[in-house]
Amino acid sequence: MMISRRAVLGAALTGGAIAAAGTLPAWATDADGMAAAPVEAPRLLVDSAMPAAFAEAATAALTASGLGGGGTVVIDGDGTAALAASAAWLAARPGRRLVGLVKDADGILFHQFARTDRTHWLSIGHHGQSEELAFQSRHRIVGLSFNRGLARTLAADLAASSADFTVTDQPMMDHAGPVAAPFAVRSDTPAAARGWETTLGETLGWIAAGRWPAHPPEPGQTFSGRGIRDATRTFAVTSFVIAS
Amino acid sequence: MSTKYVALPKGVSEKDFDAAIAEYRVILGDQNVFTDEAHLVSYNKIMIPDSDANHTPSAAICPASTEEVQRCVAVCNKYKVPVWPISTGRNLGYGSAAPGSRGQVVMDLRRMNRIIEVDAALGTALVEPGVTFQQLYDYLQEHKIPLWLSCPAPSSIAGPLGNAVDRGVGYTPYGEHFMFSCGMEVVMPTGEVLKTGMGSLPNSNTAQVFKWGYGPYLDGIFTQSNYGIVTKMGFWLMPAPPAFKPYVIRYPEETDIVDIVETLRPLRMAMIIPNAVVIVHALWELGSFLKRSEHYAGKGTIPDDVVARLVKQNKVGMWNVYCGLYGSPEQNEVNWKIIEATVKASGKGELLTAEQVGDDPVFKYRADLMQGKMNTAEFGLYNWRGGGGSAWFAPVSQARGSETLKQMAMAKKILGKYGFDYVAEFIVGWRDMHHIVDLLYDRTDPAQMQAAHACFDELLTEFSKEGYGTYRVNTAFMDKVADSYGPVKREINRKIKRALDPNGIIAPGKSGIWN
Repeated sequence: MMISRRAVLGAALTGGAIAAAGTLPAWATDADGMAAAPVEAPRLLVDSAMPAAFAEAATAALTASGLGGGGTVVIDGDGTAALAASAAWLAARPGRRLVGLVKDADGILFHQFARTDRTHWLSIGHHGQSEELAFQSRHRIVGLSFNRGLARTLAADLAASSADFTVTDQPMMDHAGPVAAPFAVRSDTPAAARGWETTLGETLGWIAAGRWPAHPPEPGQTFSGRGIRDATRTFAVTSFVIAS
Repeated sequence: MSTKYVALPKGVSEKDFDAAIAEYRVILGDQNVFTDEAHLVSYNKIMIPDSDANHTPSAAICPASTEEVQRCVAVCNKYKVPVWPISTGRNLGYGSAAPGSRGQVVMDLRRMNRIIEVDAALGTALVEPGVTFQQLYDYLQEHKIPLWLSCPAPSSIAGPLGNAVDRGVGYTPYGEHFMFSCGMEVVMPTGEVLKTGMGSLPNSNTAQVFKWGYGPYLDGIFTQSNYGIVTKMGFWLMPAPPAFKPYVIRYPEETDIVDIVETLRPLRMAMIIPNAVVIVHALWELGSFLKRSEHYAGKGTIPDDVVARLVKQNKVGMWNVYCGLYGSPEQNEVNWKIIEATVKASGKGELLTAEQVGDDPVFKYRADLMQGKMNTAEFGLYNWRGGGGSAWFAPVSQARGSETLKQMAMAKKILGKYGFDYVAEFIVGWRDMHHIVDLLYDRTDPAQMQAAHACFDELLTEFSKEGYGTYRVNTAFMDKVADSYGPVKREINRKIKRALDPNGIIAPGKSGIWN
């Protein structure tokens, strides 16, 4: 229930129409060479230092979509072999999908291993928090047609949990036009009990499953909120969904 | 302007671009022409301090042969569509696979990945642009050919052709990669195919053994330039030595850089130290396996006393000099005694062999690089600060201690002004030093992005004022660096460009060369 509710909430915040849960968005069927849905359960690639909530939420979304989780590769220490193997797994068969949350260096390396001719990026983002920047949670999402609404959804969750944050949505395509109305913080949402990793994992799970509702394009924008800073954590990680 | 494309090439209408894309598809097949953002995002991911939007491609095309490159170039001429050729596109701190400016079509040559010939007796190889160092290494291993490669730090994923054409360096005695290249095949902007050196002579078998051919030596004008698309390149590979002895000399103080250079330059020039020696600063050494935030949480540049503490804790030098001896055991023994005596006489530096260092992963990866073995350990630097930002600042200096000290002080002062760390190394050439500073910053923080751009700009300005030119630079600063070499050179480059590429279709703006 929570997963569906969150997906709907994320889309509702954009003020745009959404596809009904369970139906495939248009991009999954008419995009350039894109498989309509994964041919097998997507796999997760996660750094061991990240909270389990990310993988759990992604797996829950995949399970709810009927695909189930295709297993999780955990990177602990030198991830070179796991990154190379994951890129090879992805390229070996069309229709596979991989959801990742890895350290920045591993994200850069994975990007190099992934074959440009056999892979499609459905989502990519950077997430950081450090004492140097006073523990503000920072997120930079490359806006693609497949992950539209992710930045807004993430920002809504961070706002609902009264976090101090910035979320930058940087669309790859230059979308002219007015920025949609700022989202309203919903104190009654379950977001306050969730970390951003949960929302991110869940959303990326939906995207990987081909069940993330279509969202209207928007110009680039930055969402921010002033609130609680979690001084117990630092991280610099890259998130992605990639398809073959 | 609204368009159905992610971007459009400058000055090209959507209608003309539609036609060009349709013709590329006929030549290459639909599966090798990309205009969708899910593919193009891969060619738009940059680490340099510039907006992604300034480097967004309009399309990517992937030819698999010289003939396909020629046909694509004809289409580019027909519709005046600019293409940005890449080999493997792993020039991360210099701009990655992204085009120099928005709307250019990336010509991705990774499908041209044939190792055409390796001559074990003559120690030569002829490869296409998409061949990676790993691929060539595996080929040599599989065929039990006793030749060594020289590779840069990203090693396995980068390629010899692209690296040499960009005048990159490695860490073996063959580390000056362009110097050890021999013969090119180039698709000219007109579509003609030029073979340089001896390659244009019918029935010649000397294209990979004699560089100069007859008349003007042309290979150089196809490096760091946009005068043609290099589709094949020959290389000399180093005979595997009977023995290899890697070692490190650790120095405790930053100012020791003066003595290091003065001590080692004569050995390097006399080829007692035969390889491209690398002098690694502590933060480069430590940054490959530590995270900054776990050791320093304040604002601004990491203080010197914190660096000194980390040096002690991790038993590395403030400067770490990596060298190797290559030869028979007897030759190496003779040279080792000379090196031991020289270091001892200098009164500074702790000289350590592989056996003395023991199980040290940093030493291992440096030793691997010095024998052309693949590894990607240096990617760990991108966790030092995190956030995916990196720009390589690469001024050249004379191989004099006083010069290197001056450059270090200048770099630290400017980096410090903007709150960045001095993460650097010097690579010793024959008489020069490549000073490589990795400006690491967090791209999730707009303020750091802005500061990194301003910092890089100031580094270029101040170093140029002192007469220090940079030997490579990222795509956001190519015009500025071209200006630093003066108007005459820039105008000559432009005249050559206009003569060879009248439509300006090959990589406009590369190295500051426009027509």
